[in-house]
Amino acid sequence: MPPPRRPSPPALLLLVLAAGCRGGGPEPPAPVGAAGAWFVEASARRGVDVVNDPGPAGSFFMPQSMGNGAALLDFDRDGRLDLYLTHGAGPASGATNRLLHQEPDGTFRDVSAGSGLDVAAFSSGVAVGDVTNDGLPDVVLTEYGGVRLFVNEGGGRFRDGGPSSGISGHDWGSSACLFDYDRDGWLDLAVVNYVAYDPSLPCHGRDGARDYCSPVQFPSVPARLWRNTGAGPRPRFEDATAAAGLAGAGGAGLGVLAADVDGDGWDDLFVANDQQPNRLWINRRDGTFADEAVLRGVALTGLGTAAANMGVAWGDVDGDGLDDLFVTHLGTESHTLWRQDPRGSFLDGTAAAGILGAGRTTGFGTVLADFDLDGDLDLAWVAGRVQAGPPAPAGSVPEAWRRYAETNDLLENDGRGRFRSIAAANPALCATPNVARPLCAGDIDNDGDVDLLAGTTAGRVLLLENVAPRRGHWLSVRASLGVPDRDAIGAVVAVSAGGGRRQRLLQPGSSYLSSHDARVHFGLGAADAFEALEVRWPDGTLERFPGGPADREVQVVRGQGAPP
Amino acid sequence: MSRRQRRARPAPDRPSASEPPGAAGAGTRANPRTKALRAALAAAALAAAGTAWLLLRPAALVLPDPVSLGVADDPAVAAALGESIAALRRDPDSASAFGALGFQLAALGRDAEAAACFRDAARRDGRSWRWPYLAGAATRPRSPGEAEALFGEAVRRDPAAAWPRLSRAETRAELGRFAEACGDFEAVLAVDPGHARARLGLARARLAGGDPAAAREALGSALDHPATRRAARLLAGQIDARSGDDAGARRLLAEAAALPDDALWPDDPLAAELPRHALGKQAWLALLRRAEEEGADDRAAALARRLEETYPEVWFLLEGKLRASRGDPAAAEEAFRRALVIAPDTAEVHWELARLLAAEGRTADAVEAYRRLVQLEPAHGPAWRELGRHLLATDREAAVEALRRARDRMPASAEAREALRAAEQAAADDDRLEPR
Repeated sequence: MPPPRRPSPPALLLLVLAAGCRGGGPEPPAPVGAAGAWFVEASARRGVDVVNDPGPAGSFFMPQSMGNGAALLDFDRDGRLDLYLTHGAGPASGATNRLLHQEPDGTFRDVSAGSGLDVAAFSSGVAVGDVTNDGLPDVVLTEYGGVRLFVNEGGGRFRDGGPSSGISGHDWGSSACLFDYDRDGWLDLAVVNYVAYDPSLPCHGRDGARDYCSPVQFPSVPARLWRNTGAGPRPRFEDATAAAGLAGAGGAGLGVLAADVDGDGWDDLFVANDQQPNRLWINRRDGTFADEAVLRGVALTGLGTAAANMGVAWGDVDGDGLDDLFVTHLGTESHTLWRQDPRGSFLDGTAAAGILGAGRTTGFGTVLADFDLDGDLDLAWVAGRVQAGPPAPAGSVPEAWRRYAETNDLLENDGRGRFRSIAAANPALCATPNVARPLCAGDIDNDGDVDLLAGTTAGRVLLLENVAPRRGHWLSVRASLGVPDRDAIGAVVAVSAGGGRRQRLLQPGSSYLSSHDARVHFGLGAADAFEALEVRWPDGTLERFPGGPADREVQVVRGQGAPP
Repeated sequence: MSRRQRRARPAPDRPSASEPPGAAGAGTRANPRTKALRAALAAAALAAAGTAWLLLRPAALVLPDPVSLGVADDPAVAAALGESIAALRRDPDSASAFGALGFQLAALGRDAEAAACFRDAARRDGRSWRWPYLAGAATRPRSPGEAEALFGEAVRRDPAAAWPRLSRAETRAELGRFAEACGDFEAVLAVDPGHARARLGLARARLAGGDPAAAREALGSALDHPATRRAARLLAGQIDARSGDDAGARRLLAEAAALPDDALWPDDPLAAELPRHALGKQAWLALLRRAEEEGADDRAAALARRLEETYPEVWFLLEGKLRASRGDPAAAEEAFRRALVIAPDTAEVHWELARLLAAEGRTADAVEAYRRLVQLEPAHGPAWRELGRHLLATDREAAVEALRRARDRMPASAEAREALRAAEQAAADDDRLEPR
């Protein structure tokens, strides 16, 4: 059956009315991309004009090169994704992080002032989730020098949880994620830490020129785990790192993912380590974890090397029902796709996936999503070197960053887990060299497809609207715990449609220094309806929800489904 | 393996015309699968040969320019490259001259240019396997496909040499061509059955190719060799885990954890040569530090002499440190200041001078020196800390600001945090005591 064509305007109107799509009022008309393009740059049109400030050039202060995070979040629960964009110029600078609210017309308004999130710091990663169970998403900000919790008080205001929250530290935090590792209904926090950096150490490239330092020159720092004690509006976390068994394990962590890898229904924790073996902390269901990365095949690449592991993406690329793991590396290494087979065990499937054919760039933030709605997961990553190389053309990035700028990549899945680069047809994302770090995915314009938000060091943030030719139908799912009414982070949502079954993990924290849309999105291919939704909730319970027409957003609430 | 299979496989030093040497001996009966595999291997070999020709065909002489390479700032580097380039202009047909330049460029991190030089060397010396091998090694991080063809040319020139086959095998594995990779590993092992790196590579390729039992079997001596034993145990553990032998897997992982890191593989043609061709102050300083750490006093002394002869500021820096350690601060200061005349932006000299002045109680001079250092290196946390400490007596506000910057840049330093806390407390006390 050929993929459905885009419906005619009257039919589109009926579809919108029938599906009860969310969304605001009229939006500015979206421009059509170049033939074959999947994304167009929409920052200016939507009023997003934020230029990242990484601090003064020429200091070779290492945190500059590792980037500053970004998040897609709906902080006021109005159904439209907002943006949180961070800077890295430090607490003494005037460069405060920005909170942008999406207005009904699709443009963004800077609401940073007075939000409490407008802090100046050497910002690093962002994690979003409701840690107080009041229905409002809170924000965790990692920094070079610590980690902070900002509690959403409503009305566009966030309160710094401060040391009394129990979340504190002086380490160089990178990516973070919220997940309920002990299944008590409260979101816990995992922060991966990078290295104990000594900024007095001048580093040089092999040509003797001054350059950013490599992580191998410094001691690595273990990840940290904070357990939410469930104190409610005044959250209180306790440091569970040692008790959980993570304390003695260093690793120069950059990426993180909380997902049930071994299929026992409890979230495990994958940590991507830079030039060291990755860690896969298997949840032993008693508050402790055991590192089984080697046993399960994800510590090292298939060549046996400890690559520079940075960004993390998770999803079933070959449709076999088992999620696979993709991690970005340096440009002198090929990024790695670990295929899961059998459950809980992985083999390096990079070459077979055709990923070697993509450009050799240093990848950071990465996303697996069905951009063209044909039913399989496509792949995107953003790039930029960490050490100097051949300079990019003048004018593409500020002069100080030309030797670090590279182009991003976008790969289309053929439906069987083989990818081919379509970067050449996607200039908005892939043509201009940049030094990009975070990459967030979400349906920013609520039109049913997945858009992208990319942060670039010393450059403008890229808001990329999906204009891919639609090769199928879609379904967006918001999964809520009901009581409390918060996103069911950690849930696995599966949709049965068109004779197939697809599952997605609801986990905004992955990629690199990024937080995604908390809804799960499915491309359904030719299926214009779905037979059922099945949800495995974070507490392990399974529920089934009835099907219906595709091309809409649905909400599923724990307790309102039926036993499978 | 049966005798029939052993007879059927071509000997490593006599590659068949239609098959790449050491191709995986997939049985002796010419069944359709075998025929198809051989045809595919032959096609691949032809493609590789064609690519190798494309990469090594005669080309116009193009020599690198130190200025465009961005290395002209270091006069010693520029001079060394200049000599190598001049030698090439005098004798553009010299493979060894191209090779020498290639090593220098590789040592400078200019892998693309180094690969081009090694290719030029390979064009001029059609016999040695080293040149196409080195070109492949320099190319592989950027383009494993091109590297595979270059390694193939090296194999063609000397089918018995292990390094080209090993590198081609590892590159083929990276490209997902596991059967061909196995063939190369097996060819190495046919000559040297105990070759640990080949055993480890064969095991990895067999596992990736879907045969964990054969992968486990292949490990053999890799479990004992100091350059592979840890990696081999990790791989064996992974294989055992996939096979359901959890207890065996955990035992192997425990053994691996108790072992030191695997040693570097000896005699890597590129890695072994690079230190000899290291150029520039930073490279020599790094070699000097390594020699000192290893206790290689003679090597360290030779490097120190070389540094001092080429970079006088290094001599003055080392002289200053020596004089300071011997209790001669005046001579030490003079040496540091002379170093700064030669190289005014050397942070380490500013740091040593500032510390010397501070130790002498010359606070104002020390403050000036620390200020110059943080202007030069705004991220230098310890310099901010010391600046702050030495300003406390004279300018409390500036001291607190400097200590804040120190704390910001060294957030994990308890000393920096405490220094700031104390300064802020003192400043607050001052405010309280100030007459209204």
